[in-house]
Amino acid sequence: MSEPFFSSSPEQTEELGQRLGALLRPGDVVLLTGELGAGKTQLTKGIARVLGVERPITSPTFNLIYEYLDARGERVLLRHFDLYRLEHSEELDDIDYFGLLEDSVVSVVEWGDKFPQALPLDYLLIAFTFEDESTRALRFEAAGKRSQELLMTMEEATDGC
Amino acid sequence: MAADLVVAFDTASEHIALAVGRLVDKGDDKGDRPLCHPLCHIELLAEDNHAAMRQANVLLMPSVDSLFRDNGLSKADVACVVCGLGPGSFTGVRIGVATAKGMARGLGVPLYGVSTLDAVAWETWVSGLRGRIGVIADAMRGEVYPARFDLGDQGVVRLDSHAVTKAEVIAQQWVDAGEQLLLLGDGLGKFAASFPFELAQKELWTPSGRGLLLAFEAACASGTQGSGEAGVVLPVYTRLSDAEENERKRLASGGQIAQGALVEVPRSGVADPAQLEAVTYRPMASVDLEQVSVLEALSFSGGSAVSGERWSQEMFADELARKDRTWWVAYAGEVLVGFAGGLIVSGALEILDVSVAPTHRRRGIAQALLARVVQDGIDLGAQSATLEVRESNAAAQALYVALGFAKLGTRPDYYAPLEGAQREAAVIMEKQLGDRTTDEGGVHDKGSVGQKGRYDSSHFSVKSGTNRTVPFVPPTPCHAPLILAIETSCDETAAAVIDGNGTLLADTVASQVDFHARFGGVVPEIASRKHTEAIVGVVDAALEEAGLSNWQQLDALAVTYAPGLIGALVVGVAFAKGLSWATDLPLIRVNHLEGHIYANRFADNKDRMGTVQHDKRDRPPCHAEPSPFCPEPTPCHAPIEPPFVIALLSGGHTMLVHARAWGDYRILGQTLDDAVGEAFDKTAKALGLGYPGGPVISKLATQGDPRAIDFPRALLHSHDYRFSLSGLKTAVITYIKAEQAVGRPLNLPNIAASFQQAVIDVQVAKALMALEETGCTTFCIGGGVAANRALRDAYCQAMDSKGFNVVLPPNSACTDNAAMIALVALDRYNKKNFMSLADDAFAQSDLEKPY
Repeated sequence: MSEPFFSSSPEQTEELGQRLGALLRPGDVVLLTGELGAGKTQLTKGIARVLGVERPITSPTFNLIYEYLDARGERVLLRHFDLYRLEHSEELDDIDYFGLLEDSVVSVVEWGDKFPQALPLDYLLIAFTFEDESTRALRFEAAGKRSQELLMTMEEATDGC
Repeated sequence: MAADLVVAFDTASEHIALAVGRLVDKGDDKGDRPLCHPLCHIELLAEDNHAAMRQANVLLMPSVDSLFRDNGLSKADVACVVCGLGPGSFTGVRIGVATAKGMARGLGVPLYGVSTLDAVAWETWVSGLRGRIGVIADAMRGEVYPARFDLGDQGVVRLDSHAVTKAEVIAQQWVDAGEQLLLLGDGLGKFAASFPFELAQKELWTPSGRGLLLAFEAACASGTQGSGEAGVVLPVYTRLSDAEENERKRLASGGQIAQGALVEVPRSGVADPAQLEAVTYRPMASVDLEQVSVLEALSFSGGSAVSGERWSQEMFADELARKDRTWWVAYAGEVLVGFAGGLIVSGALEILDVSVAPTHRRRGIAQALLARVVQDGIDLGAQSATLEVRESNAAAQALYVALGFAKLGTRPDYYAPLEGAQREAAVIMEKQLGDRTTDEGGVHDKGSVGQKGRYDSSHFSVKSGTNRTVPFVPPTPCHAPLILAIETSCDETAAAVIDGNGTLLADTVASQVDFHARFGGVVPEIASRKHTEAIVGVVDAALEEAGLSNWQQLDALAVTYAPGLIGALVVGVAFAKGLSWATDLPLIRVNHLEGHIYANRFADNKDRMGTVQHDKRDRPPCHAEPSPFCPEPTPCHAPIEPPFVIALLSGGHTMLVHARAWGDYRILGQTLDDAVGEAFDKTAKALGLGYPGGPVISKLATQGDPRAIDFPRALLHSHDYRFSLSGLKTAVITYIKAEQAVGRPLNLPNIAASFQQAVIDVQVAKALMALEETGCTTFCIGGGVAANRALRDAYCQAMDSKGFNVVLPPNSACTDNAAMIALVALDRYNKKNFMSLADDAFAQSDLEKPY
């Protein structure tokens, strides 16, 4: 576990998302975890913006998955999952979760560690915690070769910030 | 000439396998045999195998249609449908199975399923290869579905049952076993390097239409093809969660792994951590079989089993397909901890098996399972129940006595010896089940349907099987066109039938249908899996309710194609396309959100039709309960015609729409983050209240002060129609944390009321602004949140004071239903706006764009 990042506003969380988004490659998987209101969707907004998504990022809680296409509507830029509503890990198969994660598209998964037995093979996990009313700590953890590289690059890029 | 064609397809891999064959009776006596029998042979007539590239729903039906046309085949000659059940891509399998169900129901022929892996093996066999092969299908997450087959001159023998495992693990197992295999399967694309075996040519890696026909012929030869009942054909669900897997290993090892591994709990006076787990019960389904057979093995070796022989997984699978059986399972979390089942024969229920995991005994689980089996027995006409138990098993006998069973006699030497060499006697016990008859609450009476409430579940129960021929009772007056609409966009499977007057002849949702009476099986709780399993039963129930006996009494079919949960939508669309092709009925696609807009027409249906005789909703007037703000129901009966402004508020949507005409909509604005329904649910969760959050918060709010806490009204003064609810949710959570930090008890009613008021203030203000800006005088609402009482009152109060007209759909029409889809379809039918067999489902859609 590396040093946490701190954010003291939704704007800062979104900016952190932009910094991360700039490093992401198709096929990368980012899992987000933390209480309601901690800023998971806010971070996703930053990632989406930097990936070139133009539509507003809305919560996928109800729909479980939202797909964001490029301006021409041809290529999927981002898949935004939310496992909040799911109760059993078998339901992941119902939404073709593992198949979609292996596509060459960036995947962001809110409540991504909800089923510890169903973690993907390679992922970056960001855990949000409330430090006080306005401050959130974001702790990063990487599993798998690609995500470990990604985390190192992220830390180097933000060193001294 | 009798129908003799077999149409077979599979979409479980990234390929479409498709073939049509002809059934030939190899018997020389030309005896009168059932359709599929050990002597039938299938002659390949035409085949089309090609890549699907995640487009199975787009490509499959046009491919089927072309194959029939190009080869001069007639769908009237189809005798049965065969589909690949996987294992494979979950979306792919669902598309294939749902299409096949629609096709089989439409043609009125049986549906059979075969393993996709078997089809690969048979294609390899027919290509001339012999010896042992290993088929490796991709299961994602570094896992594969492996199976070994022996290809001999006589045919194919499968050596492994369906399973999922890490590629390296199975590779090592096969190496350790000294296997000499030829490998094939689509999993090799990723995992070929893990297997030190020879690879077959790539053309053999995917299933073929010919392979499906051969696999089916082999199933007929061994009598394992199944019942042919479309409602019970289900995909192969192989993957077990790790929790289940661990439990399976634990049970297999005799329960020796520490119990504490399941849940960590403080030892403060709780002797058994298992006591903390809630146990849930549901009818047994194919997903349960693997765990059931493990528990069976364990119970059997422990001597606690009721059955005289140890049952295999295949035997349980066979049980599930039978209509005269009932099986229930008990789960603690995701772990199967017990099961029981019985057979109903000539008015008697014979308990076949009762097993409870050793870790979970003496918790009333056996009793609860038995109660469910017995209830099913009663429902299916049993007047007595019998069971057998080991003479030495005094504890079980005591339990059965407590449940009202009495000893009837003994059966000597019935059980195999537990230890030593002596066989053991069975004690036969019996219980009378009272004098309820099968007629009670059973077959529904056509004459009285109109008077029954929408939520009367007994209304749909049917005692016969599914291939019923319901006598046609003309639902007079019944005006063309008659349209069947299907809706599977989210959690509920629904179907409705509407006539040309807009009168609903049927309006059915899955939760109302008694599947047990229909199929001897039930729909599991998992939402999108549910659609595949429920759709045939829901459609059958709707047809029956409408008094329809054949497809040609209908004029068109309709289906929700967007927006929603894609895995759920594809099931409805695939089923509807298969059905449309089979029946030659035109198919209409409907946008779910447009359905919510049309649902407002139900508010004035009474006037338009002048009769409610066939209105199955039994809708109350708009303001059934007196309301201080809207005492007069008059606005609800005014004819609704655009232009109007409508707020669409649900768990997934929050938008204001300007309806300029039917089919012509402009989105004025929508939420930037969370939907209103979602904000209610998440706030309820933060407050420790249950799910769904809407009803529980509005109920609490009636006792609270809406002005007690000043929660933010985001974008209230933004002078546009955007909404933001994420900040409100966070504000409530922050408030709760702050109160807790200073040790003040939470005033839940005040929090609920203040939260709800913050939502309402913004919604009402923006709705008023939209009316003023668009010049519309009528306001409507749609979506699940539209049922919120305080919100309805607030709209009425605000609109009345400004002289606007408010139209509120009845609460029953606010939530997802197929009736509203049928209403849209009626308009689109009149405009001849039909969809093609190549059209797909979409998770997102643009309401503004005509479709």
